[in-house]
Amino acid sequence: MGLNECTLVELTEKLRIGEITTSDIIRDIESAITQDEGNKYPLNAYTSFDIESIEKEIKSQNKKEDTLLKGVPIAIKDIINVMDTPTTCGSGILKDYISPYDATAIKNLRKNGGVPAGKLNMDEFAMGSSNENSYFGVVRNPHDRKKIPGGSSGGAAAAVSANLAVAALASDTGGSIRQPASMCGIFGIKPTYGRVSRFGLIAYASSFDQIGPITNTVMDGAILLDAVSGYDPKDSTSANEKVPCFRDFVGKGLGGLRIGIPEEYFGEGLNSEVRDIVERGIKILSEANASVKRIALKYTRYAIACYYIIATAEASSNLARFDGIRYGTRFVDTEDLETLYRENRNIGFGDEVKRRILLGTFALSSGYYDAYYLKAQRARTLIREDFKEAFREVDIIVTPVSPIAAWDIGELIDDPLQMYLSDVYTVPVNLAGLPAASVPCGKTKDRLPVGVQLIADHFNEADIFRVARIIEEGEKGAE
Amino acid sequence: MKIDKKTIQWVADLANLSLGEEEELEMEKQLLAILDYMDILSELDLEGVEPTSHTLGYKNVTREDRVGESFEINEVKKIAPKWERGHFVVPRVV
Repeated sequence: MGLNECTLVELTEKLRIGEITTSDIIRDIESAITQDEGNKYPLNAYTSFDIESIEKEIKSQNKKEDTLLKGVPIAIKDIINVMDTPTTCGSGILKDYISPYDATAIKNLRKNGGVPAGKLNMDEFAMGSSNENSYFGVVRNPHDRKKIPGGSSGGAAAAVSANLAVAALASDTGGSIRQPASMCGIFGIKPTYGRVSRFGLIAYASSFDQIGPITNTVMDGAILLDAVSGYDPKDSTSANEKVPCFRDFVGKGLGGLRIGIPEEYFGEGLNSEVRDIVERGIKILSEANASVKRIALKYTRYAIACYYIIATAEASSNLARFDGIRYGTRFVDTEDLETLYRENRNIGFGDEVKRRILLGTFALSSGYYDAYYLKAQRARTLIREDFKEAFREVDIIVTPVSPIAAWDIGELIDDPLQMYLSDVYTVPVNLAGLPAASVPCGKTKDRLPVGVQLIADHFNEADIFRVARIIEEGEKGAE
Repeated sequence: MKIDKKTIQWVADLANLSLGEEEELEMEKQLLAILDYMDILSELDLEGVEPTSHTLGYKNVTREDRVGESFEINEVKKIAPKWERGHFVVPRVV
């Protein structure tokens, strides 16, 4: 077994006793990547994996103290700034951009002995549910290379699932960690909004964006979240809340835990195989002494409209900074400034990014602001209250992650609305700022992985880890 | 909601995007379908409901105004698409 196939728990132990070095792990990862490149349909999970700069990272790693991660290499979604490496956001307009600084999450990772190693492919500016919108090309699903890996963190999910990375840091705005984790059969958690600093995470929709881990096991996810969480004065929306030690909760029993099942998440549109798998997950939990209760989240059907208005409005404002003047690529020079902005943005942005900028600009424009943006902000309050009420009665809400398993590459690319609708079970969580994870729970008859979503109240990631571990164990037992 | 070619051109103008003619047509068709779907929100009675901009309700987060670290001019130069004598180069504006 190669070191690239080990868990974080195994690797940190091997590093601790001096049996291996970080370079040994990198060598095995590199050889797995090279082998994958020889495949007829390579996964295309990385935008860059530069051995020279990784060697430099290894030399400068924190070796002074006994750290949590002890030198384990962590691959990074290409939306997070890592000093002196390209950070492209999967976009043409940033294809030449080299980060002059570290995101706070990366600083925390380094402090805890993690070594940033390689940047992962993604939908351009994290806009997409299939990883078909990258300037660097489509990412494929390791379980079936004709299928999408999910998005926008498709590179992260594919890499971790196929052991081209031992673990990854990604970001989730409307499901971008959970949905690809589900489709690639691995663990991914979006923490509470504010749990991990957004400083240095390139902004898509600032009131939703959140950094989180994608890993092979629940315990690895807890370790990585332990390493990057915490308040940061550089992010005014980061939460000044105590961070519990998440790994202490992995393996704790469920005695007395109350599980809520919202009927709105099991209605029309949910594929029957996916439903069966999620119901199996619920059965595992009730057998582990959790009490299961039906609940209602009656505003669920408004979540997609609400999310896509607010997210695109925020995106249209956030992406105004990309103009080919201060950073990024200037493709053409023109006689006047306005034309320079327009021409360069038009060349630099892909179709989905332009579509969302237009949609968001429209929703914020004078005459339509009240009818779209303000209305969506109000609807957001109802959706948030819906969850608040539910969490008076239950501790964890269990739902599907995606209504269907991974679909064919190209299947939905010409129908953006259908693609948006596939996010129906993940976006409500971002609207309410809640933590939620996807944990693998089985496969369809076509051998495509399906995850279940575990949603908790604000800052209660600990219960998610407790529950996720029970499903992970129960699922392994069933295989 | 009715949007037409003129609306698309107006919005593109606001967003500093110059779309090609084919692109305009495609966007018009797609945005029309998307905005049609967004009308679902009209079913809601939102009278008196406060809008949410931050889910945890944080407001006016302030800090001491202190001099901090910033980028060296050389770092800025490295990431600038066009740079001359300590400045970004842009087309003539006046």
